[in-house]
Amino acid sequence: MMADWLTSPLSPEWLCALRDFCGQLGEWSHWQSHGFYLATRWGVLWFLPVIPLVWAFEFLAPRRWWLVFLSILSLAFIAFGLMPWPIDGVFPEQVAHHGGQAMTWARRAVYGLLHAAIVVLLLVGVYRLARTGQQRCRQPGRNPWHPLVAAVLVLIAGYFVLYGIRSGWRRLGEGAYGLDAFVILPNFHEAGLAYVFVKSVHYVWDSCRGRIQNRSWWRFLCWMTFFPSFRVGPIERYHDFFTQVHRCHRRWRASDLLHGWRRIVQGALKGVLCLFLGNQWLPAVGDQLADTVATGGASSVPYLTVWVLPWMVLMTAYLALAGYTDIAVGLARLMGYRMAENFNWMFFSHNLSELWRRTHMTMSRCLRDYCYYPLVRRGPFRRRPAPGGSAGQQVGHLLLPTVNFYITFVFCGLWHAPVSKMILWGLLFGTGMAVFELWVWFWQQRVDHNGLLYRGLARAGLAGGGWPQRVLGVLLTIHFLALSVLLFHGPELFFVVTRELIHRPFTWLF
Amino acid sequence: MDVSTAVICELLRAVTEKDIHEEDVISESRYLEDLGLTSIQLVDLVMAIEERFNVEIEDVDLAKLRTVGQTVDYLKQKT
Repeated sequence: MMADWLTSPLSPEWLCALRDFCGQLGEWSHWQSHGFYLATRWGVLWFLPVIPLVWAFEFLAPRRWWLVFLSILSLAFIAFGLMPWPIDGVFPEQVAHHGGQAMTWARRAVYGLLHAAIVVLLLVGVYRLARTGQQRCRQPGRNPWHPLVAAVLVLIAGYFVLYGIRSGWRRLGEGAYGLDAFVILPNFHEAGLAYVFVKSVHYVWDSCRGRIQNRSWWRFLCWMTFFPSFRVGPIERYHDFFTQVHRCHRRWRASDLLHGWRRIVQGALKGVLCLFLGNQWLPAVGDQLADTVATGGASSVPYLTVWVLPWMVLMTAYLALAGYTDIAVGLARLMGYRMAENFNWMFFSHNLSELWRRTHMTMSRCLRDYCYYPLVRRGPFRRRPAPGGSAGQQVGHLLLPTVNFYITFVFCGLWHAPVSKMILWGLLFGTGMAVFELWVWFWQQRVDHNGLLYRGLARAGLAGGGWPQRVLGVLLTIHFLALSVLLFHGPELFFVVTRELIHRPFTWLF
Repeated sequence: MDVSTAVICELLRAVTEKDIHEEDVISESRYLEDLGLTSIQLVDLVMAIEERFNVEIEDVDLAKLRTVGQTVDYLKQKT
């Protein structure tokens, strides 16, 4: 009887969601090839031949020209990446617009330079905003938080408006006039706008708080456009970046070269693996699922396939980002810089809080420092001391600050892409974090640690940090993450997969 | 006021309302991982520290205060 759930027929909702999912696979596999795509076109493998030039300049040129040189090199990288590229099928629309290879390289180069110029204009705006914000914060009699909040709101509005302009322009160009839309306005998403936005918030915030003193334009431009990390991070903080720049100038070691090469190879392998998952394995699974859909459930999809599906989605997303991070860190290391890491054994996190300390770390630290902490300390749902001066460990005192988890993760979702499904993703993660916070509070405050229940669980290793508790925590955490990533591909898929995963094992019971 | 591990331990007891013994708290004890604080309790602790030592801790500095020892060093610099 227990084995029935493994072969039980699929529900109609499940079949519909799978059909839609299979329909998306063609387009999706292009997206999943990003790991390799990033490593080649945007990544920096193309820039490997430039490294000897960087070394030569570093040794031969005066030190004051170093930041200018790095900035110009990075802008060349941006122009190179933003050129129209009708070659890899990632943007088949471009091929249609330009008639395949009809566009000359000279024209592409002009467009690339034009797009790089637009990026520089945006950066000029951020730089001016930081200066204005700092001046206003210093004005006597003014609350220093008001200009800061206003400046950050301007950045947030600018970020979403740029996304809107791009998509609106795209529709206009494709539908009404057939304009050369893709080459007139840069694809801000491709240009790493999301990362530029986070760095901008960091720069403006720290400038307004007086934490950035030396704010010369070339320092700002060099840090903002540093080519290994421009497109997909890691997000290096301003001070950390210049600590590296000053410490590493004209100091290379063989270990740096070896480590750099190792990371680049490692990243490229992750990209290839991602490409394999996206273009070979996923379509194969998709064909199998499509057969099931076509036959209307006569042959059921094994439970194992349902279980593996979220894992595949998670692994491809992880490999794409981790692969690029490896390449970026490796390339910077070839130049002597040690950049911040993005991942630290995330699959072994034993709770959601730890997961966010190990996953996409540079981004999650920025979210924590510039969104969560300010909200929970100063926002409308801030942590308030209870009457009488104690911090307040009643559940009522804890519920209000958990709203900040929702705000933080909804913002995080919208940062990935300003679409409604990402709001759902943020709400899901906000709920997860709030539940975790209350769960810890419950076991700390409401359970008698000398009672029979706690002592029994502790003896079994399920309380007090025993290894069974940790293993269970790891499994729950990573499954939560894997399922939540399905929301990136639509809520229907998430709901049916979650339902099938939970419901099917109990079909023998109900 | 003297900044020491004992004072931090006292504040930890106040914010968590748990019986945390001084011998269990060492300089390398991490708030989130070793002492089991949640992120909200960490904010409680920071507020308690600010009030006790009359200092303002910037949000971005919270990342530097991962352990009891780091907190003590940070406060010694500030006060």
